[in-house]
Amino acid sequence: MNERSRNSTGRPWDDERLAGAYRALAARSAPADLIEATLAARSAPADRKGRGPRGFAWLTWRRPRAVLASGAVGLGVAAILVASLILRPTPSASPATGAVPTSVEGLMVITVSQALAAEPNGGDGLVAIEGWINPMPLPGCPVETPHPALEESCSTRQLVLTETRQELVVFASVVGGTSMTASPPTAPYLYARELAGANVDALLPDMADPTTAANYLALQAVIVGHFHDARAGECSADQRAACDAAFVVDQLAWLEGKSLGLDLWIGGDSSGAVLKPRLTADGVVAALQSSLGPADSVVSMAVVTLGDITTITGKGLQASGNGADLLWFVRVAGPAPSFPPMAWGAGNSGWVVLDDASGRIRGAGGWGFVSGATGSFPPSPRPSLSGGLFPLPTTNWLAGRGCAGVGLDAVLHGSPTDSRVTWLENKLGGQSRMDVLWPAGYRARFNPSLEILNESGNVVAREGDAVAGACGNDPDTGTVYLEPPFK
Amino acid sequence: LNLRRSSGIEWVRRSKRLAGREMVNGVLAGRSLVDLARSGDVPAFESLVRSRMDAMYRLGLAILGDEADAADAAQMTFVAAWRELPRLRDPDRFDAWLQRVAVNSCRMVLRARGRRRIREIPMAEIDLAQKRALGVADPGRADGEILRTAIRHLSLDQRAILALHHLDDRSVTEVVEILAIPVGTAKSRLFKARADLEMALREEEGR
Repeated sequence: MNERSRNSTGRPWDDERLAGAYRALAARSAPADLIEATLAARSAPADRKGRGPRGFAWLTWRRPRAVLASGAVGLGVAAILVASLILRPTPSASPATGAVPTSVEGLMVITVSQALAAEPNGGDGLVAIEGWINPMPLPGCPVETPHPALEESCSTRQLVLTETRQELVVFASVVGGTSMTASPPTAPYLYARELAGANVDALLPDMADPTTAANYLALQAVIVGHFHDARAGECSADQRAACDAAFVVDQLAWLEGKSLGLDLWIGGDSSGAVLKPRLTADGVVAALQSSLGPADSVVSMAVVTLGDITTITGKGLQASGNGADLLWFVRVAGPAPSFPPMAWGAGNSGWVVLDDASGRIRGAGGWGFVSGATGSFPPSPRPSLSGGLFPLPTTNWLAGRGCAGVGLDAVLHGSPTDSRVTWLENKLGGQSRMDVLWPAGYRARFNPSLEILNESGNVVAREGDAVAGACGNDPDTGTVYLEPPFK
Repeated sequence: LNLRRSSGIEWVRRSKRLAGREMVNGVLAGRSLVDLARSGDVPAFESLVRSRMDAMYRLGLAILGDEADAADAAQMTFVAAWRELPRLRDPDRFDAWLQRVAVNSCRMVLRARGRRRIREIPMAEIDLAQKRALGVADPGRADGEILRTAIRHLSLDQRAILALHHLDDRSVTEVVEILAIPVGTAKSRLFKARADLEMALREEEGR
């Protein structure tokens, strides 16, 4: 324990004091009624029956949570406050009309069946779908091994969006508690997944008491989201098709006659850590203004750490930098941005990642961009870019700073006739050739030997350069992500 | 036999010596309890609940810092345990397994807390807020209350590993088994969690 850990009282927070604090914090017995309430819950008829997200039934017995709150009220002290975890901007200026809008965020609103029909041949662009949301209760789940974000599991958060109004959750009074039964929906319907780090339920009307029947009534809504999420590739083979067809929510655009506009999720990382960004939502929009066009519309924002960014973008993203850095993941509807310098396709929407500390764009994707990280980069043995330049396999992560990353002892090589143009010769043993992935905007030329140009056209690496560290590698393909200067 | 039910580790260690299905202090004892509960024996499971409820509640308190949330997590833990017990392969590891279920339940409660959008403020916190509002210094503020506020700055994974290590006195090896994470991850997580907690404690104590 060093001096830094001493506090204003002069007592250090050493192991002994910390253990004492833990004992003091937890020096309470369980409430007297908790054992009986738990045993009553255990004895529910649904005991030991498997249940999945597509229809289930169980009973819930809850202790009266009001005990503590009522004590506080008795002292005349307000005992509740709005949690800071979920922030929601003022609803958009669009007037609430009561009728389902025909378009939101520049996107035509379609029905559930239209969306399902279009999904197989569509990309990951944004779509706006109208229907009826059925809030589902959060089940108590057993220990689960980590699984890909889009794979179904007991704890997967889902919203059922039905084309017609259906009441799927029914409450009934039974001896000793309340029976809650959820039924499978009637087609056409789709299951909407929440964006990583966010609680879709939090966007719905007050869910203060999940045991109240009124909280489960179907709600007419328009949801903006996308199919073919990049994270589908992480699913196991037997679930990949289902993951690919999953509808991931980006915005709850309209609910029960009211336009809601931009969704903003802060502090919702999967482990519950509270994030405190420097920028505000308005600040982020201002920082993006010069890069986006007048027809672009910000659909949603989520604050995540760099270490958690792949929980949204998928593991194809090779992000470098401090894992604790805060980033803004911003989903945009509209034409591709003028920056960063990437080979945009014809998509109607995409995403941009902004660094909270610097306000700089650090990554982007969507708009039909094909990342080299996916392995689908088309090789080009002859210069296909102006100025005799060769395209390189790139990621949608911009160069930020050189990173030491994983240790390497390798040499950079390149050839205009090689399918990937550049590669590393590994001197550490094992795999001798290592494929390379570069930051967005990087290109190569042969003058006559290899030169790597960054997005600004400056030469940042050459044939024969020693590479002592990379920013990361794809464990599946062995591809190494490089970001000069090499260290 | 005078078993200490207030100490989970001690109780388990001693109860393993018991053979068969004995009643001890009104509680069925021995490894047979877990075996029986796995096979659907309700009294055996009830005995497990009674003997371990306090420990699970305290673990929840140390992770969540909120009495109501801790009670919810404890209840959720045992309901899930009853459902999943048949899949427990090694009854000797029941307590480690149960603690893992408890950590997972805390995770679920924490997620649900965000969904509720309101939270109940513990009485101690209200009292502290009143003192602050009145400008009353609080040099003797109890360490437990400082800790309760400080852990809110940590992720659930950090809270869990700290609670297991400092409250339950679990070694890194035991933490590895409970949380099902690699040794290296456990060590680095514990180190980072401790550093973050110290920072939060200093910040809270300075208020």
